[in-house]
Amino acid sequence: MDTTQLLKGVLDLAVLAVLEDKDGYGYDVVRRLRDAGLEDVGDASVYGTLRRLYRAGALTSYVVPSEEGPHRKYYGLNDAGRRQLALSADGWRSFSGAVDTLLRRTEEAAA
Amino acid sequence: MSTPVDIHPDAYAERVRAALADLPAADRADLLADLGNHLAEVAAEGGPLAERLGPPEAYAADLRAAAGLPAAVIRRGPGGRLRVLRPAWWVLRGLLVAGLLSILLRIDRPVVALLLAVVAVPASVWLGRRSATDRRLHWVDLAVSTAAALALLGLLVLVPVLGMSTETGTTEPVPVEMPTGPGG
Repeated sequence: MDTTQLLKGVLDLAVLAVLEDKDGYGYDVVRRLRDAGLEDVGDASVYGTLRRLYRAGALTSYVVPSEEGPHRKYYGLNDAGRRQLALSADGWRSFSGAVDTLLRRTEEAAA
Repeated sequence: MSTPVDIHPDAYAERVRAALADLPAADRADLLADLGNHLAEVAAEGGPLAERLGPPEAYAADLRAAAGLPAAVIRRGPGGRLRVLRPAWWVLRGLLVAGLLSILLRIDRPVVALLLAVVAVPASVWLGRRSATDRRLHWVDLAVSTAAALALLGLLVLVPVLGMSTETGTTEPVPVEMPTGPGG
């Protein structure tokens, strides 16, 4: 199934969820999303989403200096971000619950 | 199996930057801030960048879309090398429009015409640059370019014609009928 459309709808939620677990920098967030099973998520989409969430006031940002590699910009959730995550998660659960209900009815009808 | 051409991270970043060139400076800087590190990390994992991330133009499009910024305005007009000449055209266009206005308004004092040019040239350049991002200005830009092009065409046609007429005007002797003598 082409998940591109689905991803667009939930990428904000997924990014917020990843950051709630632990602060992360851009590529780190991409990897964690893919490890969780969202294989089709695009790098650029994640970076753009991080910038947008930050500008919307949902994220904190700080730079971690590093001796051997480049300085990395880390993102984390602030209170507004945690509230947005909670609201979005509720929205997702009720939405996906509705879809699951429809699918169960289809399976029962087919059986 | 064909292998994608390997783009160096710096070249990739430059093309992403170019694809974002129409954005306001602050937005563009925002989006480009993390790009260097990202490309370096992906490159370190091996494999061609374009295969791993897609073409730079697609990367830029995804980036700005996810960031909630408007998509790039489709540029119409000459591409490639001709594009480099656009600023020169903007200057020339300003001069032509100033000249055209001088003629239409019958301005005979050179100072006024010069003032017109001093205003028209920067205005033309401003219009040319802004019309790249502002769709409404695109039609104004096209109209001004058309007017200037017609003025240029007129110039190119009229100057040789005017030149010829001043050459032949008074130098060719006009045959004069000699009066016949008495009794003729």
